[in-house]
Amino acid sequence: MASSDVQSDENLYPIAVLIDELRNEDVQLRLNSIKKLSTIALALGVERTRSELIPFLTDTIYDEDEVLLALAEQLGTFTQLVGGDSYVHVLLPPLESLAQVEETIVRDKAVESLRTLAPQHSTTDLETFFVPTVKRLAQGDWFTSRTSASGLISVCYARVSNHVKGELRQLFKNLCQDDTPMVRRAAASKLGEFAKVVEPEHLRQELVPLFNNLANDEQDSVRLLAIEAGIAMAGLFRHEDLEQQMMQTLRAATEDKSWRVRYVVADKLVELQKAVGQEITKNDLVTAYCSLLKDPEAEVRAAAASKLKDFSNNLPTDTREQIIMSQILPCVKDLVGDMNQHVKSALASVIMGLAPILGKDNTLEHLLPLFLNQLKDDFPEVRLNIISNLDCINEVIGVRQLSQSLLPAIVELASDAKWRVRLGIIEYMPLLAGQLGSEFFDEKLSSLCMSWLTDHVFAIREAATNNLKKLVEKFGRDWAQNTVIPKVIQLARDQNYLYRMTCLFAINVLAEPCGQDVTQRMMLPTVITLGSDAVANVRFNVAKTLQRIYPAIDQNTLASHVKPCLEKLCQDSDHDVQYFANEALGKELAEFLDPQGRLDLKSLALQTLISLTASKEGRHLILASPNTDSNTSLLSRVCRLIFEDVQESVRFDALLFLINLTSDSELSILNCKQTSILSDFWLKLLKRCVQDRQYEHADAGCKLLSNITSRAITVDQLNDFTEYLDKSYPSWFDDLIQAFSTIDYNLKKNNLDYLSAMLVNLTQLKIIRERLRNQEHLKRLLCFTDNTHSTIRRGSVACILKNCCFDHESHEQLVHQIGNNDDFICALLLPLSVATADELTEEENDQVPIDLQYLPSNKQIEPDRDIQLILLETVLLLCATKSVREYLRSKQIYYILRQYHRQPNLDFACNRTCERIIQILIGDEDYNVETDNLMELNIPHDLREKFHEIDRKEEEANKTEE
Amino acid sequence: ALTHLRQMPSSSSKDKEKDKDVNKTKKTTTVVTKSKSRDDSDSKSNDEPKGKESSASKTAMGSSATTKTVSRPNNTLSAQPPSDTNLSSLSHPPQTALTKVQPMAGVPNIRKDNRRNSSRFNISKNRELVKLPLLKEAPANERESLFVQKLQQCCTVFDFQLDPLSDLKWKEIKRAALNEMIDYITSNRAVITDAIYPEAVRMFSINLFRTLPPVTNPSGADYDPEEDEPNLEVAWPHLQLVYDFFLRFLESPDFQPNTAKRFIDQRFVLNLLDLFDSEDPRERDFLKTILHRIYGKFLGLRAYIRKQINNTFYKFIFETERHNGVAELLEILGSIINGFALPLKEEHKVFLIKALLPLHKAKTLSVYHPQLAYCIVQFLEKDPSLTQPVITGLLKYWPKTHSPKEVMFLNELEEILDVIEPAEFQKVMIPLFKQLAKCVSSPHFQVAERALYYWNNEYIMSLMTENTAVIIPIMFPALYKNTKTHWNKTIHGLIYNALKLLMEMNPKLFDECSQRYKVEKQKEKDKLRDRESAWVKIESKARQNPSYRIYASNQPELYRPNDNDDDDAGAANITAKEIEQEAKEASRNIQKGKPMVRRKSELPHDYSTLNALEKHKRPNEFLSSSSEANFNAQ
Repeated sequence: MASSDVQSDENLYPIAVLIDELRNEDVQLRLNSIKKLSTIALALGVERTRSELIPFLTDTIYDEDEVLLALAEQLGTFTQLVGGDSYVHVLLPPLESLAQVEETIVRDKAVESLRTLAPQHSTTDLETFFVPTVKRLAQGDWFTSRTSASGLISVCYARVSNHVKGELRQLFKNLCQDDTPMVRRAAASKLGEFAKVVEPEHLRQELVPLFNNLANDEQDSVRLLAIEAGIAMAGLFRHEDLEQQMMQTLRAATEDKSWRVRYVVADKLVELQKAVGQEITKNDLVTAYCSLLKDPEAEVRAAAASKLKDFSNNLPTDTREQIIMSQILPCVKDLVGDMNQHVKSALASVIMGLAPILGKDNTLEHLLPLFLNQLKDDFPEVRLNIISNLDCINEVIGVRQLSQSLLPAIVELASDAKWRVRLGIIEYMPLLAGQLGSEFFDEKLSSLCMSWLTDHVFAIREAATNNLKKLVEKFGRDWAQNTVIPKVIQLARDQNYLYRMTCLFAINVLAEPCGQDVTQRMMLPTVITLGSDAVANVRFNVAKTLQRIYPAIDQNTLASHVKPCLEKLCQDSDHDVQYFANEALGKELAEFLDPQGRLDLKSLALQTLISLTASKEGRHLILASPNTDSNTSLLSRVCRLIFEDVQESVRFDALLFLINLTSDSELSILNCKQTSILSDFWLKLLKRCVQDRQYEHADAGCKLLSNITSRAITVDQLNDFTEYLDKSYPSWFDDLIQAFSTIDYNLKKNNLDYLSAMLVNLTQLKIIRERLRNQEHLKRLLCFTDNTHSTIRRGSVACILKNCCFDHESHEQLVHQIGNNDDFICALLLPLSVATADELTEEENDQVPIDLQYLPSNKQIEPDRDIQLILLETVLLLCATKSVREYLRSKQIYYILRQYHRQPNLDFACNRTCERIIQILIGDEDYNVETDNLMELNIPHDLREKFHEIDRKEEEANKTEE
Repeated sequence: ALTHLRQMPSSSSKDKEKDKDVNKTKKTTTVVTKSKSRDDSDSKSNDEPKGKESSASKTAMGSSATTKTVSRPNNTLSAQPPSDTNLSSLSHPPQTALTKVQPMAGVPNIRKDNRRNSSRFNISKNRELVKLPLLKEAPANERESLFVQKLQQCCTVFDFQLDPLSDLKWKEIKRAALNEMIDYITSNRAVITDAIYPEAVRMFSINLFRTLPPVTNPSGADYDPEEDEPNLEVAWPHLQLVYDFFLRFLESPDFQPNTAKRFIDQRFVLNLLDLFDSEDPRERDFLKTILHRIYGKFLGLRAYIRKQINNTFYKFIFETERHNGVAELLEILGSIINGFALPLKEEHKVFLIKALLPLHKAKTLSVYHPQLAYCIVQFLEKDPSLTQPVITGLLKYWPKTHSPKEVMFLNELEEILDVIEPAEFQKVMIPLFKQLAKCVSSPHFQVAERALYYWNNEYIMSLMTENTAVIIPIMFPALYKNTKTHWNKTIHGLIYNALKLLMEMNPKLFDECSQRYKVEKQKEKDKLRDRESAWVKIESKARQNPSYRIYASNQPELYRPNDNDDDDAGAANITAKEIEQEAKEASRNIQKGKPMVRRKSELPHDYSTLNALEKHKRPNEFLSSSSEANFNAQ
């Protein structure tokens, strides 16, 4: 596909962009373009994705591995984008080439995608497209493609005809016997999976020999994968077959000369045990297991030791105890004194599991000495593993048996030099506490728990606080109040700020289990005091803590203590402190905003939120809050309040809050992920405002609507918005005009003036302007330029009229067809007219439009200068076309404007615009100009400059005058 | 160190041919002197105090990638070409260092327990040996059977791991027997009879062919072969003798490959190759020599050996990224490649592209980089038409974040450029210099510095001069932007120097580039803006698709390359005069400055390991080179 003719054709645009992006030198950029591939496919539609995008991708696959990886991943999810299951096969060619590349990760991902696509093929497609792909890969020259093929055979095998099945089996066989060990390894690792889909007779005749071959491969890396596959296969056989077909090989594997193979056997022993059943377990595996436990290689022993519990549990129950006692336990006893610490620690992590199996007497006699032995082991990990499993033994013989040896072991671990060991023992403290009881605990261990709070490693301090929480949950509030909290609070006065912070962290987690009373009485004062700590880190952690613990504090205290403290922190000199304090305030408030929540809380919260929206920083903070979960985020909570809350004032405050938030043109609420312009909320709001005559907050709602349609969103978004409205609420525009133009439409004294503001925003769109002109809507708006209406209404309508006049091709329509003959021009000029009855001669009066004749001397001119200017500019725009100019002349607009111009203190801009209109009107038509539309006139560049220059000078002169 | 370097044979492109001839005629002598001077220069540039010099040069048996960079700054800006470009014309591959770890002064040596390892699976059950009479005391007609008997006796394998003191008496018998046999076959002729072959091979196999023990060093990304010490084989006292015996057996003038090939077969070779993963460098050192001899003597096994080495590499590259013997295998290959007949076979080219080039991407590259670079350069010297795929490959694997590796790439690239044909150069210069432009503006000063040293290479400069029209527009923006913005002062000087040289090459073009610079920058920004708006349009088109919702959730944000060029006002207008001035100044400063050394963490190391490695006597200095007639008989 030649890129040049792609670019010339405008319809091929998305692909051209992609081509261009993929040419960029920045890898990150290329990578991102590939990740956005689905967008391109969506833009193209299914047919062109199939016919253009996929072939392009197939042809141009050469890039960084990272990009290819992303491509391989994307293609796996492309089914819908190429038109669903019946077209899924078009995705095969690019994936086929990706499955051949050198880099393993890319290949694996391509195979993974192919494996997801396989089930989506129809059976015919599978044979016509997928199987040939697999065949090509399996017969590829380079080992990479053959490796990939081995993972694809099993996913298509089950659904193809017998003939093809035979071919696939042959392919797999070839892969298992491949020359390169890489391919044999790949095949061996897929053998188990393949065995599951192959018919039993082929399994026996074809796959078992393959397995036996691979399990005797010259490379141990192949053998060990074969053993894993063998274990999966073993589950598919009946006992006799198994014995006959596979056991010999599996038995040999336990004595393989490579420790890696033996390790796999040890590691997978429990799976094997389940697969072969009890008989073979008894006859073969027990001996094998014992020899693995005695293996010369520590790795193998450790793997075997870690299976002790599971293996023993799965032994046939009738002979279980006897097997363990006579065969396994002697080996275990040896392992307790093993040289290698990993072996011992693996053993220690499971050995306790034997206790429930062997019962009390055996445990006391045989196991207990082993436990005690291990509790004194040199390696802390071994001791730790024993302690962490005390619960198993507690059920059988009770932990008291051990407590004498336990305590020194715990104390020693608690002060171990390695912090991970200390961390380990801390995590088991709650468990120990439960088993030893609170008395024993208080006496021996509680001071230990407290000392961890001042450990010099943060992770330990953190774990210590969590430990305290669990202990409090176990021993109750009273215990906490007496033993824990005084010591925690003491930390707040420590010299070291890290410990003061630990105090706060402890309070964070303790507040909940301790309950409201304790939190408020004992902990809160400490927190508040720390709010004026000298170290900023402590202070912002106070903010964080307050944010955490407020659910445990009653409302009065919240208002009287917490809020002032947070407000003070909001003013902090340190930015981080400010940030967290603001966040705490915001977060705390958001929680209250539930439609069913308490009224006083809600209004308090909303008030504070509204005060936050007063400043720019506050608005930023609210929109930047990291909560992206759309259901619980602050914004969606507030949005819900607006309609769902039972309380009128809350609904109103919620609206106010949003109005404030949207008033900032810099941060668009719509760019923030929490709300979209197309969300139901806006639709609902608009409906309420224009349909519900009883809606008491219609004005506020209109304000909000006008805010969100204003500068902060782009024309594109606005377009989307109107399209969305058209789709889900077809009559919205008519309803809107109806509501707006009906006086007292809203029965709750809302004037709906701001609807016009929204309308002004919408008239940025041509389609809206057309609607206004063509459906008689505009006529209904004309009367609102009149002085009797509010400034907002007058101004907005003036703006709407002006926006409409930008389409000069429709000028004639505006002037002649809107309402009665002169309505449009009168609507513009009436507010600008001064009394005409006395000032103009009778003859002159007769010539102007009828509505402007004989205006009384008390006729007021439009008081707002900006509106005056807008109206004047609208007239100026109308002067663009010749026919309208002639019409204006014929209506002797000149007289009205002359009177207007005579006013004293006329605004400079108004004055100038007025003069311009007059100049156009009184001037002669210049017939040499090629067009009669002034807007289309070509003004030479230099002249234009000159005019601007003159304007600028005039303005300056005006300023200095003032 | 400087004087030493100046005495090195110069190797600017014109002299190279001559050099080669010298190497060919008086091979052995040049090899020795070169290796010596190289060692010395390495150790001295490490700033070792004088007293330690001898010991340091003993441990630094070869030159590693890092020491190479160290020796660079000594000859900055002087007309003298860098010393290690000689590598390309050496007739033998660079030798693999026994240990990457250098003992640090002032760091206490610690002795770690349990660091030594051995596989314990193949210990013989019956280990009671009877001392046999000495060979030389036996009557001549019984010697052969006694020899066989001794070989059989040595098949007993002892335990050195669990209990080093066990079976001491019998261990001694075996040791003595091995020593005696070594003596016997070196000092006597015609003792290797047909009956000996199967027994000797069997003895070797039983003692050595074992599954290597599990690794005790940290695995995966934590493993750093430059810092982690190797675990030594505890059975070495016996293994060493077995290796020694077998090597002498192979090297004996009586040795008949035709008889031996029944026993030294493919399976034997495969087992031998498996051992290359041994952590003990001494063992790998022996293996290397043995495999090399086998390759030399057994023509029938050559293709198989190459194939299996390939497989080892593939496994290393694509599957595990962990193998201890890559350097040794490459060393062997280096000497093999040296002997390839021309024209190169397709198989060999495939090997270069599919195995050697991908070897560059492994994260442990530093361990085997000198050997790898040697192999690559050998290939290019044989067949210059391979230059383009090689350089494209290098650029593909060019490190993105690993600066020391990037320096290695730059080293290798310079070696390649030293042998490049001008016609080949023109094929690759555009991508090549785009990469170099990135390197000279690298924030890592050693990378930038290494790239800028290319401007001291006369041959590269001559290549650039012939292609100024292409190269100056690529290099100019990168250099220009960094004249003042790079944080490292030394780099400023080098950049000015590079700019000056470019300016001298083509003043007119240089001038045009500096005129165009701002405009181009603006164009780039415009292009970025266009691209964003294009995406917005696509996005809005995509929204119209009913399936948009399904795919909308996993869309990444539009990527915006960060634009930090705003502060390049400093470099806005530099005049030609200024460049010259700064370049002069810089060259003064740099020559005074100290060489920059890549600091490595000073971990305490096991004294005994280092000692043991130091005591190891290599079976040969270097692998013999291409001139062996056998090697060409492919």
